[in-house]
Amino acid sequence: MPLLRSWKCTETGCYKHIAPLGLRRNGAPAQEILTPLLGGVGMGKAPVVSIVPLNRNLNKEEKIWQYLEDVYDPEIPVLSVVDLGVVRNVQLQDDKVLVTITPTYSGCPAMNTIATEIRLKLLGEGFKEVAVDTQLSPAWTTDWLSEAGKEKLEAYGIAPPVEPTGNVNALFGKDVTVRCPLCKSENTKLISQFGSTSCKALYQCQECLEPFDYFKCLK
Amino acid sequence: MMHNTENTHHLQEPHFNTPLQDYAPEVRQLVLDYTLQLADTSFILGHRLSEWCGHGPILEQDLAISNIALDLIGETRSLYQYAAELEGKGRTEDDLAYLRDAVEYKNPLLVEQPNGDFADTILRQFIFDTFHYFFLQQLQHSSDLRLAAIAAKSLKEASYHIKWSSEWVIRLGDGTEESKRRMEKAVDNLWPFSGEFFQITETEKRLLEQGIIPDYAPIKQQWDEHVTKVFDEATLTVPQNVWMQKGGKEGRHTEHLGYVLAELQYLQRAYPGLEW
Repeated sequence: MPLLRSWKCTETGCYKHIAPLGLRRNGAPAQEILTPLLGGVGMGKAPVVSIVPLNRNLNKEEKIWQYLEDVYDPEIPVLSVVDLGVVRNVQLQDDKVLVTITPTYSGCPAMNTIATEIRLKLLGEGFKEVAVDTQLSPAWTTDWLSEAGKEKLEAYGIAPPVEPTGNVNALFGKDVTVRCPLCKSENTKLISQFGSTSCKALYQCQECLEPFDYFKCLK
Repeated sequence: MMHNTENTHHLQEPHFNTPLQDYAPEVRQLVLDYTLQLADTSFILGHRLSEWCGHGPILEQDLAISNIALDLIGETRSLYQYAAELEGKGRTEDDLAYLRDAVEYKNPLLVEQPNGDFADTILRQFIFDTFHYFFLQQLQHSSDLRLAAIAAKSLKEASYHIKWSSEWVIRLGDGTEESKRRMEKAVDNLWPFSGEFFQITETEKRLLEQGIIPDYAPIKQQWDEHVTKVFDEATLTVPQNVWMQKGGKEGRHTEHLGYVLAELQYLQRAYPGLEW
């Protein structure tokens, strides 16, 4: 694995890892990763991105990010909390760690579990003190799901979020074309906007008849 | 900011990294009262919706109602947590939810009304969702940064709610003879509770002067437009010149709230501090 550089958005305080030569681990150009991230920030304000200067903590912080890739969403066990885009910041001071996370949905019962799992993972890795903070603003958006995360979702049988084409208020309007994660047909229909968890809607494929979850777009 | 060891033991208590704003004591009290009013509103409606869990007319709608309940309870938690911090007396979100009496609850009367039949639930939700959606759009620009953040977060969820309840008003209103009759009955039952959202209390008046909460007049206009559009589509008539109930926002409730709280608070009242 190439050495990752850490970028920090000075507005959100969010770190994103970008491989050298502007490429991310899954090969997507850096700009494509950054643009949707930045597009979701603030109320039209232009965010500033700066490269975090190398300091003596960076290696340890990088390690923490790697550990966090082993902490999975309890309800979607193929997505790590990093894939899910809920980790906003990692701060390190001696052996004390402060991880800041942002909730996906206000009432998502997985958030408490995620906070606990993060603590247990990092305590298990030898950090003496681990705290998890919650940050509400800017609110989480499906734009923060990593590209790798979207691929993992589809492979797991959950259709990843699709950019809505119409107004979210369009009554009875079919917002998006969702591809069946099983047979890849685009001939699918919405069964219900609300599914097995807050973040999902129910769809059915008209070709292979498979009912499936869709990770709905949250902007 | 690094927490001390004592704090890190509380796994279930979220810490927010937004510091409290520096308010004069009387303004702080106003913001506290108003935050509780918003929290109570989402809480009572979220609880009402949760009563449908396992009883919905079809599985998908059972799931939808439970999901909306969950979103509202999530919003409630953020608001009660903020209220607890503003109050600064060591009470927690749970104390605020489970250990206050009916007169201390400041939710508008609509949200405590019983579920009735599916038409009543849908119409109650539609009246609330339409207010909630347009209200949050404004509140997200509040000078109170925590309320603004909670509003921006909840707005994303509320945009799915308004769509769901609007579609169901149309389906039922323009559905069968029976569904239409039931919707018309629901409109008769619940319309008198639709005006309270826009009636301004003394607390709200002072917060409006401080620029902390939005003016309700433009929100009322958006509410009217959306309700008229959906009712037209649903072949329902928007009632005119109806006398509007009020009092909930000042702690004067219908008899229904007591029953809601009796069920909600029973466990903590009977076994104080019980955890599971």
